[in-house]
Order: sequence, then structure tokens, then C-alpha cells
Amino acid sequence: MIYVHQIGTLNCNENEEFDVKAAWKAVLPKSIRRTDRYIQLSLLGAYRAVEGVKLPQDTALYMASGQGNLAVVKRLRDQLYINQQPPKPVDFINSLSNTAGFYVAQFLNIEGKNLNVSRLGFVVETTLLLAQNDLSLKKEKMILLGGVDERQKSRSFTQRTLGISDTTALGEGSNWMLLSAEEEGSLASIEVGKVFLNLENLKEYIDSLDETTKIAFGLRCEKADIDVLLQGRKRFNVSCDFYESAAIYYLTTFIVSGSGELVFIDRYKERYRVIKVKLPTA
Amino acid sequence: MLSALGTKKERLEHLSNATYQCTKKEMTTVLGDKLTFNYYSIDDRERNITIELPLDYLDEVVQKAIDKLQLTPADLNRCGLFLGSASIDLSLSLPLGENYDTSDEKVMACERVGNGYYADYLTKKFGLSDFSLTYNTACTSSANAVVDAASMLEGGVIDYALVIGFELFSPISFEGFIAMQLLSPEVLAPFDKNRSGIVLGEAVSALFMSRDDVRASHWIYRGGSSRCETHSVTGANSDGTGIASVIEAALDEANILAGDIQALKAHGTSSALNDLAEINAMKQVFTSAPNFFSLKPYIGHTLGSCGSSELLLLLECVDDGFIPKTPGFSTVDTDLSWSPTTKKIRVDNGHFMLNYFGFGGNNTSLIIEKVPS
Repeated sequence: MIYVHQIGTLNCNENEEFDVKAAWKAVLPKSIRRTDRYIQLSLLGAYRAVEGVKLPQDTALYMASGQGNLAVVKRLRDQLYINQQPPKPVDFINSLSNTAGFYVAQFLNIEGKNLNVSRLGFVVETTLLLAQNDLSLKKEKMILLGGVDERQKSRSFTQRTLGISDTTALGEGSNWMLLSAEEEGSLASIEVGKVFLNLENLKEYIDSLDETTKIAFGLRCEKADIDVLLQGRKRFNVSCDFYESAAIYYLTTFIVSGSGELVFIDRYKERYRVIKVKLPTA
Repeated sequence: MLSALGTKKERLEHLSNATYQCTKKEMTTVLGDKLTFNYYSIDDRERNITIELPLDYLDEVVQKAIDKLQLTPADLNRCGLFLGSASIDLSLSLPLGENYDTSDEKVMACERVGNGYYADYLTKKFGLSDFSLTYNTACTSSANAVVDAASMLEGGVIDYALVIGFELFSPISFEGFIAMQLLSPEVLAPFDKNRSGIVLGEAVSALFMSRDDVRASHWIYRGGSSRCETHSVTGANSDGTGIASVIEAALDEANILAGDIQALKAHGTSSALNDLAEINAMKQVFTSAPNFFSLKPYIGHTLGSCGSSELLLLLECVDDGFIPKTPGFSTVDTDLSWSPTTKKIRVDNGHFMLNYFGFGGNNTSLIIEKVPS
């Protein structure tokens, strides 16, 4: 079991344009040089999570992404092959995904472990499992865990690399949670399922839940899954277009506006994972 | 493992005799300049640059490790995967790179690609457990994978861990290092007064770990630490304070003193500031110079792969009874004053430290122990 102490959300649906520079200026007048939009999204989301909080310097930072900094990979490709120019050093440095984590750590003055991890599916669930393990073993006292994915200009390219249909609306986000093993003062508790489930196992799991537990479905879940699994239970809906790390937005939205207990279900290639979120009783 | 050192027998011969095989890589940069750099290649086979390019290399190292340990499908099903590479965007940059003259929409199949592609492939191919993560923390990628693999084993989430470090030649990385003027036109000379920069290399390595209640080994992971110093995005603070703090944290976790370290594998990139930072850090932790050495003159700087690849080389050397000389070093730098190994040193058991530092301020230190069989 791990506990959420702070949250910060930045979610943008397909029909919304988000000016990250303007949003940054609104909270802090100083720009951070040599950063690109992906890094700026990371900074802004993390800032929203810990605004006004002085973090212990050994706070760890685990950053998860489904796509990484895809825009800079495309920029480097364009520089090399289309414009016939050498890579710009700033783009080369920013192409290393952990550069975003560096700028977040520098901005927040934290110097603990700083990871950038990715996975084709379940990237949030797996990173949370790592955090749950490290906190329970006391390897880390506090972890700032975020998920950042940036919408690309080419809609079709993004849909194809994500393996989703060309009708799926694309979002972007930078959502963060400050986690520890300490319950006192927490906003919610989180428990991450350690293994994948198939549909049958998942159904059994849901049947075992208290009837007041709400269910939320990740963006790769299909309508057929939802019909089979919901079975009269209350669904917790979140307005969110597709990006791989959106699971954190679901969790933080529930923490802000929900009550009781939520089970978040995500899917990737016929397999399912669950995260249980419990809010403290009044 | 696959590296420029060849088979295990060849590797040990090279490491024992302080020899290595460096080739010349000619690059015509996008500006039309013809440049020649030293490079450490796994092989000289003609490569068809596709998204599948790394698969044969990955298959080979994993299958060899499975065969050596005689792991069963049931063992593999309890095994998590931790893959570290600085070029994990390869699954995207390769198809993008080779299809630069056509539109993205025409050439990309509707298949999930991107970071995690190769871990997903290996999980399916070898029937590994549900747990896999791909690490991109630059040159500490697979070293951080080792730290987390150990943690997940200790927590009982998995019973075995497969750590992969992989780095193959990437035109974007190569051109990026040229653009940053970090490549040496000469040989690697870590800690030498006349060191002139890094020489890149490629390596693919597979390392299986387990808890001792699952399978015993005479090699034990004693502890590790990973921290981020925010001095500069491109390197450690040359005063060594950031590196010293991660070394001290690793010693704390391993519950040993600096004096207990039998030998230290340095990061030893042969760049002016990195080597200075590393020596300054060691001076803050060790009362006198430990036996330290760099493996990069043997296989090059293999970036995200160096964590597991250099760890494996160290295990092989110590199992053969020695730690190697550091080739390329001949003249003491008065700013450093400490010298790496200048000859092969006999060792048998004891604690060994391995240090890794990377872009993004990422510093990682590991401590392993060989116990008498």
C-alpha cells in the first residue's frame, strides 16, 4: 500500500490547444532555457503537484511515458535527413528521455533517484508497482511519480505508432503524484495489482469487491469489456482523450472529485491490470 | 554478451593481455565532411537498418544465458525484464530514419512501436513474467536496471530478473556526439594527462539475477544507489560532490566501508571533466587510491549498455582471478594525481564497486561481492 500526498494534473483533449509557455508564465515569470515543449509539459505538471511544498532533497523522481519525447526524435530525423544538417546539440541532449526528469529535479531542487521508464502498455501500473516496492522496502522515503505524453502534430503518425484506430481522439498530459509509505496526512491510498489478469480473472476480482466500489476503465478498454465487467456497478467517468500515461489523470481526478473506493482497469493486448484507490473517510 | 571483444575466451585473453580491437568508422556527416573515428563494433556484418535489426543480437545473448543457467520455462515465467539503453527510441528512429523521403503515414504500419518495443518482444519470445520496464537514463540506463531488478527481487515481486543492456550503432547518436565535440580522434586514455574524449562502442549483454532462496550464486549484489545531481544536464560537477554522494549511499546500503572495496570499476570515459569529477569524488570517499580501472578502452563507451556489459566483464575477469590493466593510460595528470591500474592485478574474492555516470545528472554506484565457492 502506498499513499498519495500531493497531486498535480495537466490534461488536454484533442479539441483543446494548450499553450504551455503561457501557462508557465502565468505561474512563474522565469523561463527555463534549452527546454522543449515535452520538457515544459513535464515541468508544469510537476510544479502543479508540489506547488508551495518544500520537498526533501532526497525525494526520488520516477517519470513514466508511453511515447517518450517523440517530437525531438522527429526533429532530429528532420535535421539529419531532410534538412541535411547536423543534430542541434540541444535536441540531441533533449532526445535522451531522462533530460526532462533532470530539469524537473533541478527546478524542484531534488537529487534523489531519477528514472525515466517506458513500456508499450501498462506503463503507469508498472511504474507504480516499482514505486510501491521501493517505498515498502524503504529504499525511498518519498517519490514524485509522473506520467508525461505529448500530442504530436501528425495525428495519423501518432495513432499508428500507438497502434490505435484512426478514429481515436488524441490527448496529452502531464500528471503527477507525490507518494510515500506514510498514511498520515495523505489524500488517498493506492494498491497496484502485481500481475496481469485475463477477462475471467478480472470478472472474479470485480465480483469480490464491495458493491459500492466504483469502476473506471482505461482508454484501451473496449466497450465489450465494459459491458461484461460493469454489471450494474457505478462507473466513474473521466473526460480524457488518448495518451498512454492517462491512467494517472484518472486516479488524480478520482482523488479530487470522487468518494469511497475506485478500481481502475486498464487493458493491453487482451490482458488487464488493476489499480485500487481508496479515499479516507471523513 | 556481444561486444568488440569477441567470444568469452577472446574477451578474457584481451582483458588479461590489455589488448582490444578497435576499428575505424568513416562517417560522411550531413555537411559532407568525411570523418574517421575509432569505434568498437560487435561485428562487421552488413546491416539492414530496420526496426528488427536488434532482434538477432538480443535473441543471441538471452538464449546463451538461458542455456548456460539451464533455466526452464517455469523459471522464465517468474522472471521480470529490465532493459536499459540510451537509444531505445531506435524502434522509432530506425523506421523514421530510413524512410525520410516518404511520408510517415505511408510507411508506418499500425503497430505499437516506441520505447518498450524490444522489452515486449523479449517477454513474448522467452515467456518471461508480466513485469518489464525499459530504462532510458542515458549512460546509467542498464546500471539503474540492475538497481531496480535487485529491489524487485528483494520485494518478492519476481523470483528472477533478466537485465539487458543494449546499444548498437546509431547514426543519430554518433552525429550527436560529433556535434557536441565529445568524440576523440585518438584512442581512449582514461585518467591520462593527454586524454582527449570518448570513443563509442556497441554491446549487448544479458544478466540473470535471482534471490538466493531461488538460486544461489557466488556473486552477490550487496547494494546500490542512484541519484541525480542537478549541476549540469551534460555532466557531473567536476568537484566530485555529486558522485561522492552516490558512492557513499551505495556503501551505506551495502553496509560496508570504503576500505572494504577490493577494486573499483570506474566509469572512466576519458573525457577531461568526467575523469576529473570521478577522481575528485573518489578522493572524498577513499583515504587512499583504491585499485581502480576503466573497461571502456576494451569495448568503448557503450552508453546505456555499459551498466550490465561492464558488470559482466568484471565478473568474468574476477572469476578468472584478476582485474585488468587500464589501456591507454601512461602519464599521470597532476590535476588528478591518482592513477588507474597499470598492470593486471590478481584478485579472488571480496567486494567490488562499479560506478556509472550519465547525461541528465544521473549517477549510479553498485557494490557486488564474490564469496568463496
